[in-house]
Amino acid sequence: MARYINATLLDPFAGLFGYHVPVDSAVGYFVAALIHVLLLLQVVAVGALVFIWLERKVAGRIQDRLGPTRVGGRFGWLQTLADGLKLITKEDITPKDADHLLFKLAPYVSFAAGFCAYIPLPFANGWVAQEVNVAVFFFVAVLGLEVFGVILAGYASGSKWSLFGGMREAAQVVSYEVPIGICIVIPCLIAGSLNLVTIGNQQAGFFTNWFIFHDPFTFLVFWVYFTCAVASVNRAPFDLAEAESELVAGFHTEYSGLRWSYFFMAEYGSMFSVSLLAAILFFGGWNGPIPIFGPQMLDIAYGPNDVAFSPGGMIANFFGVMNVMLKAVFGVTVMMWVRWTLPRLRIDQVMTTCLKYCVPLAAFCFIGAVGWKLAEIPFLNDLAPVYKQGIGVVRESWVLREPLPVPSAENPPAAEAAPPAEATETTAAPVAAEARVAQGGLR
Amino acid sequence: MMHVPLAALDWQAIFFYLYALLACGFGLAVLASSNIVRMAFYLTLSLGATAGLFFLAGAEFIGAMQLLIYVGGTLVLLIFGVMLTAQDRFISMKTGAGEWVLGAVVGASLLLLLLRAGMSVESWTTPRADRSAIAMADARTTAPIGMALSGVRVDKLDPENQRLARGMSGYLLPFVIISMHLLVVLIGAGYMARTKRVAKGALAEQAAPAVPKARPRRPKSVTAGIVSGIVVNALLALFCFAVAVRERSTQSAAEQGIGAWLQRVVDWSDAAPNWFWPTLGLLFLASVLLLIVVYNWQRWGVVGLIATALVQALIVWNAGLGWLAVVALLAVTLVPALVLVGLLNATKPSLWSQMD
Repeated sequence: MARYINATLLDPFAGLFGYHVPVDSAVGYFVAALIHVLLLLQVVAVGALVFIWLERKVAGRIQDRLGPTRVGGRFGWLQTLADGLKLITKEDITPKDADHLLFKLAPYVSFAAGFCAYIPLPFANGWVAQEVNVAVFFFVAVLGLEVFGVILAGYASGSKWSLFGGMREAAQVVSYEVPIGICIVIPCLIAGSLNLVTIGNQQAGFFTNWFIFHDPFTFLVFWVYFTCAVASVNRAPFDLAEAESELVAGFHTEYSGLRWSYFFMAEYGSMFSVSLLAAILFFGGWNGPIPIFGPQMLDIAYGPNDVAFSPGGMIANFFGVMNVMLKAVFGVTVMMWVRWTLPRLRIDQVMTTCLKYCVPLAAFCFIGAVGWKLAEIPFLNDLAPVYKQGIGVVRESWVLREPLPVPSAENPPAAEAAPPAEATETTAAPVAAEARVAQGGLR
Repeated sequence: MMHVPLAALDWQAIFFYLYALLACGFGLAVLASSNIVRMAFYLTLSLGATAGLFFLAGAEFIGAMQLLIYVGGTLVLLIFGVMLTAQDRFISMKTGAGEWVLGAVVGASLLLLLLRAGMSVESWTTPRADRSAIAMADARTTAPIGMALSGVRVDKLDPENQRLARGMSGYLLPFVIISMHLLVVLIGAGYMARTKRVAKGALAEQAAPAVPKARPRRPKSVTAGIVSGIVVNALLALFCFAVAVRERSTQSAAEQGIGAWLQRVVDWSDAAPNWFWPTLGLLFLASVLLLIVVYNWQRWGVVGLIATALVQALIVWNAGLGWLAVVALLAVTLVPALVLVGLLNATKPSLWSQMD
């Protein structure tokens, strides 16, 4: 994209003034980065606006109330904006005992970590801010940093309630990183890749091809993942770090105004991102339940290795974004539903849930899923009465490719210069499932 | 044509300088600060900037590793330690002149070593003329790293010197040794932090489990049915696994010296796909477990038994063994399960209503 901006947009424009912009210029990269950042920022910020309103409505309905009804006409849909205005006009207080620098910085640390987790998340086939080869790993690493802001806030506030909240948060998040890691590994293992775009593409086709329906163990492990995800983003019933009945307001007791709202943007941002990850890993990502644009029906969607622009592909991608957003929003709604239904756990119950139930269950599912794959037991999609699906191919499989022929006089080394992905490019979509079975996890 | 002054900048160089500056600057801030928690905060930023350098170089795996282990793990641990131990005496560190001198000597000598090592690599110090010809580093390094950790150096499969091939066997041994160390540490930590057992006294009585609920008397017919079901299912599971591990025969009946009828059975079992027999065996094992559940008066065990029988029938149907096999399987699994349901409902009040 940066090269495109440099060559097609900036260079002719600069040419009017007698200048030249090289293809690799930094300007194009900055512009491209700015576009990506702005798009993602509006996902987080507008998402938080909508989710806070939704949370009020959901809470109201569950408690047999109406929730906000007045601001903005019907349904109170501008309520969050009114709240935001109120927060901006509040006085920004720093307690006397606080560590001023860290107190002021902590909300930004939390928000930045939650925001960075969006970098490797794809919203459709190829629509991703930065296609990271180790996207899942990167996501887990960055998501773990959000706790850092909370701990800093707890420490820097100079208040015992905040400190207790921060300590609880640290203990909880460090514990839940273990089962969540095991849960996330399972879909990666089935897909044979850590790249989220590849993982999403492998689940193309009918909904039977989603990884949650791959075998009983992935079905079970999704629920473990969701439980751990709720815990790792600090939502009720795991919101020990706030626990208003015990700790006033936990780690954000001393915060007010805009800084306080940054913590909430971070919370809603990471709720959405863990739901997005669940949608991609388990629910087929941007692939709808019926492959309307896929090779089975209209055949206009982008293939896994397409680079040329096509209007059909753009339409398919647009609906893909709708798909993945809907799935993720549904996940967030379930989190709200859980929050307003279940009572808060005690800290020892939180630890028991993690160490005595989630970790053994995740480990059991891990072994089961590995065994399932190893024994080549078919999954639901193979038993279902539809033809083979899945357009993704494991790009990493080039590691074990056949050795290239030795270049000789008649056979110049042109074949060697070809990118290794070319061998997989020729794999037509309908037979890609056979290719996937043939690759069978690099065995 | 002229270059736009700003546009001529190379973005990789810009980001390299940015990250390098951040890493060094916050490293100096760690030195200059006297507050432990602020030091930890600056260290995080410095290490994060180092991760940025790795990403810039295309080493995504190492970059994510840096974030996870150094920035995430170590610093959460550090902050734990700091917050639990930070008393007024330690929160603000005063360093004496002697410590400064010692630190300067150690740091300077290590820096010198690093510089000497770095400068001794020729290709790192001489600028290249064909900079535009350098391809971006291929970031697909995860799979080779994984293979190397499991014992295969895919990047060194064909070394020029064949005698070196023995040394290219990957990092399986170090990997296993480190994992064992971590396992020992984990078990040790769990042992130290365990709840101490209460041998006797008031606490032990408190900790004793509640008296179990009285159970309805189990009729002999139900017990016999459950036990025989366990035995039969276990035998069937064993049979399935035996067929699964058996080697496929390529010889004809006459060569093996078996009759035509037995040959037909062998052919029939060979006709099933590879996955069929282990799956069927696992489901029979599941039936054994479910029968134990039923023995413990859990109602869902009975439901599970019926469901397992139906799943088995579906699998047999999918294996293409014909409807006769399906009927035979249902006769072996579903019919006894239904008989069990009948037995449970035979008495009044029915045992079914007394189950959990």
